[in-house]
This record gives sequence, C-alpha cells and structure tokens, in this order.
Amino acid sequence: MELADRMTERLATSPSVDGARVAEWRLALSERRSVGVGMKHNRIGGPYDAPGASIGTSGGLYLVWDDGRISYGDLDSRSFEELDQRLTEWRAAAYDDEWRPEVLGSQPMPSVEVYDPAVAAQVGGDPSPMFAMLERARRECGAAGCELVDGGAGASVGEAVLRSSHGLDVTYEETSCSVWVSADEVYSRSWSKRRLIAVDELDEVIGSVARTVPRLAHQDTLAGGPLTVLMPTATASSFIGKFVMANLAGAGVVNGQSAYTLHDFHTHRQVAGPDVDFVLDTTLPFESGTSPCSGEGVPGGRTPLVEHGSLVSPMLDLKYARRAGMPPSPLPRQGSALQIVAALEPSWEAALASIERGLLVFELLGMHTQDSAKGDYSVVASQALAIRDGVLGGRVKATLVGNFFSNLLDPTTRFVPYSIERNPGMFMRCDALTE
Amino acid sequence: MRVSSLDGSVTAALQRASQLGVHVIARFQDAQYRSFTFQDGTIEGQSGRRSRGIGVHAVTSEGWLGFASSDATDPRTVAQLVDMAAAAARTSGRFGADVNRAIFEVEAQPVHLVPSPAEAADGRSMEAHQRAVRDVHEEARGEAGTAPLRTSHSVTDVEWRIARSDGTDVQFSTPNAYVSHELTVRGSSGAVAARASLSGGDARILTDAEPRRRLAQRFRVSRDRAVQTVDAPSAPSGPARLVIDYALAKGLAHEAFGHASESDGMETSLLGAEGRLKVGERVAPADVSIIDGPLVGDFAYQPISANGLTRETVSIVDHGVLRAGLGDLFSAGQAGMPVSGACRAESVFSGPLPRMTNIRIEVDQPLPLVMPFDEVTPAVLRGVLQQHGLLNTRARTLYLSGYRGGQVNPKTGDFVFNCAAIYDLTDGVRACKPAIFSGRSLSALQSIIAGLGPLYLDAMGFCGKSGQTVPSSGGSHAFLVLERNPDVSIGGEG
Repeated sequence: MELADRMTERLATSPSVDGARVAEWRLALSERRSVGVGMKHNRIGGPYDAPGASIGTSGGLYLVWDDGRISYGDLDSRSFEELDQRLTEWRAAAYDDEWRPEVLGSQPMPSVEVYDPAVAAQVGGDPSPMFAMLERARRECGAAGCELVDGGAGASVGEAVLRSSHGLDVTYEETSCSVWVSADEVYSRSWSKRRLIAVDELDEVIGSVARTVPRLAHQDTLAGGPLTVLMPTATASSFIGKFVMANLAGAGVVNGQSAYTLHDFHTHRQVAGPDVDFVLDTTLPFESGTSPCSGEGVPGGRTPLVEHGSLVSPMLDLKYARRAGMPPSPLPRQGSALQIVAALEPSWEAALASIERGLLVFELLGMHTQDSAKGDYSVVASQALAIRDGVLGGRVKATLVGNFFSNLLDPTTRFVPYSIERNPGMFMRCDALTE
Repeated sequence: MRVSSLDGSVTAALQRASQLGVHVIARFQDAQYRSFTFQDGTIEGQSGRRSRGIGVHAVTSEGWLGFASSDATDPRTVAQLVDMAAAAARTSGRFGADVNRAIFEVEAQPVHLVPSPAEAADGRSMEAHQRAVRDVHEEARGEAGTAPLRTSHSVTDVEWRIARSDGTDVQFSTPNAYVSHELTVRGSSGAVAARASLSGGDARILTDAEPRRRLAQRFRVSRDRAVQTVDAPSAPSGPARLVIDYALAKGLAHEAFGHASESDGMETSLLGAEGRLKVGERVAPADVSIIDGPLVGDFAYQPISANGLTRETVSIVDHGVLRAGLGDLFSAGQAGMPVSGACRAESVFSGPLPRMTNIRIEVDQPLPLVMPFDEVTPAVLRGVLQQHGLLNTRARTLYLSGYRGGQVNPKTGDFVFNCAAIYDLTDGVRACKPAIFSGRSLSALQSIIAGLGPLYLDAMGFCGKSGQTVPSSGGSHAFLVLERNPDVSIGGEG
C-alpha cells in the first residue's frame, strides 16, 4: 500500500514538532472498496436504497513522543500530503498517561482466513448476484404472504496494514459480505461473514422470513406470569451483549464501572452455569471478527473470558492489560469474536417441544436502555409467538422482567443450537406481563 | 468556510455529470472533532481529528439512482465517483429498480452560505479546552465522593456543501457539542449508572456560567436519583397516571410521532393510509401540538437539508390535528405532504433519509412552575401536582424521571422508553427502580392532560435509522401529565 509505505518512511525519520520528537509509533491503515444495494417495500434501489459503491482509506495512528506524551490520530487518503499540519495538531493534542500502551514489535501471527476471492470478484465485477438475491427474497417472501419486503446486500474488499516503529509489519487482504431480509416490519434476519453466502445460508435467511412473518400476523393471547422464553441467537445475543460482554470490557472492570471487579476475576467468581464458556476467538474461518491481530498488534487467538461459568479474564487492550496485570486479549478489529461454548440441548425442535408454556421471542424493544451493571431488565417482546405444550401459537406481545445475572446462574437456563448461526440460542425463565 | 475551497471538485462533479447526461447531488463534508475523557481525576484520552469526504447521488433521466462515496475529494476522484454512481444507476435500471424523478421537479436554490452560529472546534487551544473539561470533571468529583466518575466531552464542527446539477450550491454547518458525567453508584444489590449531560453548539457549554450551573445541578439530581433507586423495590406494573419529565416527553414525541411522520415510511406508518399522511385526522387533545424544526445553538441544529433545501419548521400535530410530515424531496409528494427539507445524512458516506431535528410537544396554557426544572425534587413535584388538583390518592400516580432512550415500531405505534427512576407519588414519595414505559403512541398522546412549566428543548440524544446515527434533540414543558390509559403501562414487577 503506497500510503502506508510513504507514512512509514516519513515516521521512520522521527519527525519533530516544536522540539518534541516522535519516539515510537504504530499505524493501522485500510484501503477498501465496497458495493451494495438495498430494497425497500418491494422496490429495489430508489432514493433511499440506491445501488452504491465506495472507495476509501481509513485508519489510525498512535504516537509516543520523546517526552513520554502520547497522541492518537485518524488517517485517511490525505494524511501524507497533510502530514506536517497533522503532526502539529497531534502534538497539540498529546497528553500524559502513566499507563500508556506499549508499541509492539514483530510477533508470530496466526494464519487466518479473511479473504474470499469470490467476494473480491463481486466487488469489482458484475453486481447481478446481489440484485438477484433481493429479487429472490421479494418473490419467495411475497409468495409466502409477506406484503412489504425489505433487504440489502453488500460486499467489500480491501487491504489492511499494521506497522510500528518496533518492527511490527502485518499486511493482509480481507473481504466481507452481508445479506439481510425483513418483511412487513415485524421480522428481520441477517447474515454477515468474510466469504460469499452459501446456498443453504441464503435459503435459511429468506426462508425464515417467509415462514415467520405470516405466523406473526395471527394474534394470540397468553396469560402472564412466570414462563419460559425461547430465544433465537439474535435475541439471546442482545441479552449477552448487554449484560455479559458490556461488563467484560476491561476499562469498565478496572475503573469500577462494571458489575464485575478485578477481584471477581482473580477469584474466578461464578457468573454462569458450570457448562458455559464465553470465549473471544479471532481465528475462526471467515467470521466477521477474525483477523491476524488486534488493532494494537496483539496476535489473534482464542481467549476464554468465562470458563465453566467462572470469570477468567476481562477483554483487555494493552493499556488495561497493564493496569489489570493480566495478558492483553486478542480483540477483534471489527465485528464480534464472541463464541459461546455450552452444553447444548439436542435440537431447537426438542427445546421447543419441552416448553409447556412460554414465548418464542424474535424481537426485543428497549434493550439498549437497560443498565448493564445491575443485570435487571424490563424489555418489551414486540414480536413473539406463544408456546403451549411445545407447539407454536400466534403473536403475543409481552413485557419481560427479570435479572439476567440470575438467569445465567439458573440451572433451567439452557443453550440450544439454532439454524445456521455459529452461536446458540437459549431459553430461560422470567416474568412476563402479556397483553 | 473550509468547504469554500472545494470549487474545483464541485466543478468536476457537475461537468462530469453533464457529460454523462445525469443529474447529480454532490455532498461535500469537512469535519473537525475534539474529544476528551477524564476518569476519576485522570485524563483517559483526548484527540483532535479531522475528516473530509464526498457522496454523490446520480439520477438518470429515467429516474434511476446510483450512489458513490469516498474520503478523497480531489477533482479526479470526484469525477470517477460520478462515473460510478451513474453506472450503478443504469445497472439498477436493468433490474427494474425503483424510479424517482422528484429531483427534476424541485426548484434550484440560490448559491448561498449559511454562516455557522458556533465557535469552531479549534477555536480555543487544546490546552485551554482540556483545562475547561478538567474543571467540569473536578467539580463533579467534588460531589461524587469515592464513586467512579467518567466525564466525556465532544465537539463536532461539520461543514457541508451541497451542489446539484440544477445550479444549487449551498454551504452550511451542523455544529454540536456535549458534556456528560457517568457516575457508578453501588448498593447492596448491585451497581447502577447515574448519567447527566448537557448539549449545545460548541465548547461554550463548558465555560459559560449558566450551562455550567445547569450541568452541576443535573449531576446532583442524577446522583441522588441513583442513590435512591439502586436498592429500591420494583415499580408496580400496569397502567397509571404518569408524570414524565421533558426529556421523556422528547422521547415520546421523537419515537412515537416523529418517526411515524417521516415521508419515506408512510406506506406502513400508523399516521398513513394508502401511503399518504392522514392530514386532518385528530390524534391528540385540542391543546396539544408537536413541532419539529431547527433551533440555533441546538445539539441537532441543521439549517439546510442534505439535499440542499432549507430545513423548515413543521407543525406535525397542530392543536390535536395531524397537519404535516417530515417531507424529503424524494418521497414527500407520494406521501401527501409538502417538501420541508427534512432529510439528514450521518455523513457523506451514507444516503440522506427523512429525519427529525429538534422535536417538541407543546401544550396550550401550561400550568405554572415557579422554580427551574432541575431544582424540582419528586417531593416538590408532588406538592405542585397536588396544588393543581392533579394528584388523586385513590389512583396511582407515577413520576418517570431521567430519559434512558426509547424505540418504536412506526407501523404499529408500539413504543418503549426507559427512565432512570420511577417515583410513586400516590401516597407520599416512594423511589422505585426503573422499568420500561411502553404502549401505543396514539394512546399516549391522547392521554396528555397537562403541561407544567415553561418549555425546555435541550434534551439530547442520538437517533438511529437504517444504520445511520445522527444527533437528535427536543423537549416539552418541564413536565407532562398523562392520564391513566390501559394502552400505556409500566413494566415493573408482575
């Protein structure tokens, strides 16, 4: 990458501003081309979903000056031509940080699969397959009784570079691909990886919308009170993201703003059932969160955050790893790298059949408004189906109330494989106020 | 303005479009940002950043649209982007894409520049700026005791230039700033976050006396609220008479009505019928109006739309009757509403969508409130309600305090909001932990029986739609009172 080469060459001269010299540096640059098209209310393209393309350069720079102060800056396509001006601005924004992250050098990086030539070909070539996917979604969902189908498809290809003054030098090509379909504004299904979508995956994305939306059109009733909530991966992930991952963020733990303290990690506090692991894994083939290293140059890998239900490590960047006195985590450069490893129920169907009275919840409103550190939730299941004696009924709207920390420790909370998803769905008990 | 220097790139876009026989809307953006974070007396991070970019919509004579964007704004790249957008538009035509020729019917805007009302992001030295943030942080630390405290401050100074093939060439800015404290309060049953924030157009929110006073008072209120509720019992569930503060009222206006009045969603909106706004329908009591429009110095200020039209102030609901929507040029006509320049884009890398700016609920002849909003404790509020005959000890009255965000389905009108605390005012003042406030938007609006105090319109937030996030703002009278309604309820204990 020419820009990376020019920046590296210039930074290697240890440029100075007002007598302060750049002593150490790390840069991350990405050049990317992307294409995409959308569909709204059965109409492909148009003013709000026009087919589009983007070309761009983005990245970041970390500088350690010879007086020990540090600066963070953004990089783009004009960074080199404006470098003198930007160095002046970065120097003006420099500050002291006794826990400043170190600049890493060369390290062995894992070999990971993040590039699919078929995606790259689609970005630079014929966009017909993306239009065809949306046409198919419109046709099949329409045939199933959906009235207004929305969707989108996108792909990108790029080159990422990570270099440092200490010899770190990582360059890799990467791709990404995404598809989503929804209908009648009641149910949506999405898919995103670093490779082209497989036939069975596209079948499931479109098929699940075609199956689910007509079922949600039928109103039903269910008495409130304690019941079992069965959640597909996306719904379960919203709970786990809000109440587990948010509390595993290193800064929150170290600064006392998380539900979990550093002491909890040292003593391996039990926060989930003994058969549950939450793992950070940035080496899974073609997953969105996969990369050879973190943005700071920490090698990619697999790190348990919660093992056998006990706290093992927060998610730690270099600064908070120093503050916590623990190893840094292989943080993803984009997307999610969470892998849930748990003893699973035999199948989704078996889990459904085991529920005497409950709800299958597809959408939750208000999760983003909940307080992560307390674990309490009060959210509205706006798109849910009644379950009676293991059989799905029609749509029920309910408010779910409970505490997710208690749910995770409750032995009746179980994980269950779901469709084409990498992570499982789950079911748990909570109070429901139904309409 | 910084975007004034882009004449060569503007010319390149227009000339290339002319050669290709397409109409273009070229959006240039030049942004400068500053951000600071302090944690427990120590600087956690600070940066000064800049970005520039261009997004181009090309419209063919048939009405097919294509889009292209880049962070490079040199004339050569800009011409290349016009090529890409035009090619995408024509390709979409082969697949039966939606046709929209509205751009050919809109009037060209005269070439003009709207000066920024704000101080530039780099209008003060980094050192002075950091010192101002530190002062605000230390002031809060003095009130925080030993509890963890994080203070964040951000200034965004974004300049836009919108040029179209019809000769429109307008320059304007959308500056904003905020400062917020987040305090973690621990009790015997866990921890809760107390948040207090203040927004405006620039860094003067840190240094001017009045905003400083308001932020300090808000912080004390949020701290006390968290202390009172961290180990509090659940609120009673179900319908009740509700008193909501102006930030929650902004949430109600924004989530429940603003989104439902946007011109791109009228086919499924509960405010639409057969794709058109139900103009003339009564949706609220006769003394209630909902208004959206830009305010100078506001967090969500936007004088010109992302398609280059003047952003107008719109009375969505005028004295109880649905009158107008938020009309973008591409969909207003189909939606049966005037074009009001209501579209925004997160950045030039995204296509514009109809969005709100500052939205507020106004009630005719509000009841008086003799003290500033931030000084009204739950006990004082109870007294005021009693004084105005709005408290009935035989029917439950709950005060929802501190907006924590919301969500709505514009099709069904189902909304949810969350608050930082609930106070049961029925018989004394009893603090309860927060619970979701949900219901149907039309029912909520029809339940408004009183406004209390003057208008407060600075409730800030960030609004997400179709993957884009933009600043939002708004408010209402200090408090609104909603009569008990079976379609509006609290999701507390079962």
